[in-house]
Amino acid sequence: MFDNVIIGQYVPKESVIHKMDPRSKLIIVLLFIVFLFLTRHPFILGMAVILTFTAFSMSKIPFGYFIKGMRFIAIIIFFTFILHLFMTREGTVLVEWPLLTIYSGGVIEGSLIALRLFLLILMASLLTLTTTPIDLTDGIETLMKPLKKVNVPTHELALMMSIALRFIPTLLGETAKIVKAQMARGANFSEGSLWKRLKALIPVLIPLFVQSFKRAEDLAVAMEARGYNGGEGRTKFRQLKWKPLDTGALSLFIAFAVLTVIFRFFE
Amino acid sequence: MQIKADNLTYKYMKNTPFEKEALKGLNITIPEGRFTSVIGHTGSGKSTFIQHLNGLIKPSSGTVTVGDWTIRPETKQKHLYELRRHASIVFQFPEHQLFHETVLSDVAYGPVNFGLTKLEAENRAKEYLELAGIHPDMFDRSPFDLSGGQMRRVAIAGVLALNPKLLILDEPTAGLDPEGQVKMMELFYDWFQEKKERSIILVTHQMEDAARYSDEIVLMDKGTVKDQGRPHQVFSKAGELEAMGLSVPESVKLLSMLREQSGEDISTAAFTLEETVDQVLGFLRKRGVSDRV
Amino acid sequence: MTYDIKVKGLSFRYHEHAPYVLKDLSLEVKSGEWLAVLGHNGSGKSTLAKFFNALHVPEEGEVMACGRLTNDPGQHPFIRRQVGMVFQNPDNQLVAPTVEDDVAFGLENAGVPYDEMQKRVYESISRLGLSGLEKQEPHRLSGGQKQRVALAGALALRPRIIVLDEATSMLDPMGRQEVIATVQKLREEENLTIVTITHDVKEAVSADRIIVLKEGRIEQDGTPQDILTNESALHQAQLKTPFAVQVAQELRKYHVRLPDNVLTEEELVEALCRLKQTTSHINI
Repeated sequence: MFDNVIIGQYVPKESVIHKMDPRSKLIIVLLFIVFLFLTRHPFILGMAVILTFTAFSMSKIPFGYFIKGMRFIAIIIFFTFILHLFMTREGTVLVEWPLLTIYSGGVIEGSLIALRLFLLILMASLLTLTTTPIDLTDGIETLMKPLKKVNVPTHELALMMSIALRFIPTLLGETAKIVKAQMARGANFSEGSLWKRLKALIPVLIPLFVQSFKRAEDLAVAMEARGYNGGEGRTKFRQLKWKPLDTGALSLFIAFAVLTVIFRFFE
Repeated sequence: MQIKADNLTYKYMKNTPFEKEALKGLNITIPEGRFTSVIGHTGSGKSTFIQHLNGLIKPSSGTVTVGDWTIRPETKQKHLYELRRHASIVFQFPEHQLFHETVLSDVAYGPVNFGLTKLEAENRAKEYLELAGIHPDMFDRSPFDLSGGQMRRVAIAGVLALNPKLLILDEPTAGLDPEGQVKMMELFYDWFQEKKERSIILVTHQMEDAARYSDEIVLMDKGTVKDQGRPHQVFSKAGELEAMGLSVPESVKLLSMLREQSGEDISTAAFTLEETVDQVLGFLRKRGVSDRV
Repeated sequence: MTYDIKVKGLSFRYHEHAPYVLKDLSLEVKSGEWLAVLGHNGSGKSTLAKFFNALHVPEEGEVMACGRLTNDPGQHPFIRRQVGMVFQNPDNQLVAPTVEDDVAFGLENAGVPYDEMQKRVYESISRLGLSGLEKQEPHRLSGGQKQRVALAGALALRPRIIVLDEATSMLDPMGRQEVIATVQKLREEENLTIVTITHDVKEAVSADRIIVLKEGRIEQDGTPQDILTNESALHQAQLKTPFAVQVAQELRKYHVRLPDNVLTEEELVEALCRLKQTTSHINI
C-alpha cells in the first residue's frame, strides 16, 4: 500500500550531481526558485528550462521515474493552469461562451504558472533524488548555523530531522502492518461515507501512536546510555567538503540570477 | 479450507528502481484440516506468501485459491472481505494492534466488524479471552495496562474470536520466555484439535515447534517452495537446511552430529526427549556399549 | 582482585506504591568476567541491567561501576563511556540514518576528535564483520545485523564493560547465533567484562558465571555447570534446562556413564563417542 511512495526518495547513482555538496545544491535550488518567480522573459525562461533539463540528464536518473512520482502534482499543476486561464481578463478575447470568456492573457498566465511549477518541482525533486537525507540534513544544519547566535537550537533541530528521517521507513512499515492486522479483523478502509472511513482509521492511529511513544522512550534511553547530553562539546563524524565543482555550479546559477535581474529592467 | 497456489508471483514496489520479486512462480497445495509449518530464511518469501492466504495482498501474477475463493491480480478487495471472516492471521507481535479502551471491546472489535451484534460479540470475546488465559478481572481494564505476555494473549483472543477455519500464525511466540512459548503453542494446538475442519499455517523459526506440532512442513527458499513433507522427511536433510541459513530441531541436531562423528547409521527422526533418548540408547547398543555400563 | 561492578543492598521499585522489582540485591562482577543473568520475563533482570550504567540510580543501596558511584551525576559521562549497552529492541536503539553514522553517535557525544573518530568507526565496523554495510540504512538490515551495529557503536568507545540487555530475545535463531558468536569472539580478543541478560539458557553456556534471578532476588549463583545441570532450580525459575543436559540426565537413568560437565550438544556427542573406546577397551 505504501509501495509507490517514491517522492523524495534518494536514488543512488554515480553522477556529477550526486557528488556535489548538499550546501551548494540547497543554495542553487533556492536561488533558482526565487528568480524563476521573478521573471517572465521568454529568454530567461528558456534558459531555465535548458538548465533544469541539463541538470536532470546529468544526474543519470531515468526521467520516467520522475514522471511516475509526478502524477498527483500534475493534477495540481493542471488546476492552477485552468484557474489562471479563466480568471485572467487581459489581452484579446479568444473564446466567448455564455458564462466563460478566455482571454489571450489567460493562456499566457496559465502556461507561465504551469511552467514555473513544473520546473520548481523538477529542480526540488532533483535535489532529494540525488542527495541522501542525511547529507541534506547536514547541509541545512550548516547553512542555519548563523541562526545559533539568535538562540535557534540548530543542533537539536538537525538531530530531530535526522532521527525523523531514520524512522520514516520504520513507521511506514509499522503502519502497513497495523493496517493489515486490522483488515484481517474486518476493518474496511475503502467503503462507506467519509465519516465512516475516518472512523475506520482510529484502530490504525492509536496503535501507531502507542508504538511511537514506546519507541521514543526506548530511543531516549538508548541515547542517554550512549552518552548523549546535548550539543555542547560534541564533535561531528560528517564533515561536508566544498569542491571546485560546487563553486563552478553555484557561479553558473549566480550568473543566471544576475541575468534575470538585468532582463527585468528591460521588461 | 484447502489452499492452492498456482504459479504465484509477487513483486514489491512494482515498476520502480526498488522493485523486488518476493515470490517467483510458487506452486503448492495444502489440504484442509492440517497443521502446516512454513519455514525459511528471512527474505525467503514466507511472510509474503501467507499474506496472500486471506487476501491482504494480491498476486502480481498467478492465482491463489483458498477454499471457495480464488484470488487473481485483478480481484477486487470487496470480494476478499468475506474471505477474511474464514481465514485469519495473527501477525508477529500482535500486541501492537491493540487499540480499544478495554480488553473486552478490543477482542469484540473483529466480530462486530463481521456483523455480530455488540452483545454477541462480547459474549464471544469473553469465551476466547478465557480460553487464552485472561482472567475476567481484566476484561474492563485498558489493554495497555497489561504485561507484554498478557497483551499478546488478548490480541490472539481478538483473532480467535473471529472463529476462523484457517488460522495463519506469523512467529506467534517471538520474544516470549520459555514457559510463555510452550503455553502459547498449546493454546493454538488445542484450538486446532477442537474441530476437524480447522487448519493452521504456522510461520516459525522455532524448529522444535514446527517438528512437534506439524502434520507437514513447507520449506521456502528464494520465493519458491523447496521442499514439502512430513517433519522427519524435511528435517532429515540437516546439512541442506543449514546451508540455507536455517537451524534444525535440537534433537535432530544432536542426532545428526552423533551420526557424523561416530559414522554409525542413526535415524534423526526424533523430536521429543524420549525419542531422542531412545535413538541414543539404540546407538549405544549397536556399538556394543551395554546399557548398564 | 578488581571488580568492575559492585552492587550492595540494592532495592528498587518504579514508584512509591508499586511492588519492589529488586529486593536487597548484592552482586560483584569481576574484571574480565562474563556474567550471565538468567531469569524469566518479569524477574527484574532488565531493571538490574539499567543500574550498571546509571540509567537507573539507586535510592536504596548502592551501585559502583568501574569504581565510581552511580549516584553522582557528575560521573555519568565517565560511566557511560566505560559501560556499553545493547538493548532488546533492535529497531529502537539505532539513532542515525546510516550504519557508520550510528556507530559514530557515541563518539560524537564523547567529543572524540574527527580523525580519531574516523579511525575508530571503521575499525569497529570491520571488527564486527559489518564491512560493506557502512552506508546502509538501519531498516534494511536484519535483526542480527542491527544488534551488531549497536555493539559496534558501544565498542567504538573502547569500554571496559559491555552489557547485553536481552539483546537476542527479539531475534530469530540465526540472528541470535550471530550475536552470541560475536560476543564470544570479543571475549576472546579483548579484555572486556561482559554481562548478558537473557532467558535463553543456551546463551549462558559459555559464560564464566551465572546468576539466576527470581522475583528480584538472586536465587542461584555459580558456574554454568552448577546452574545448568540443576533442573529443579531452573524449573523453579521458569527456565528451560538445555536440551543436551536433559538428554544426558535421561541417559544416566539408564546407567550410561557420562561426565558431569556435559552442557552442549557438542559435548554430549563427544562424550557418547568416547564411551565406545572405554568399553571396547574393557571388552578386549
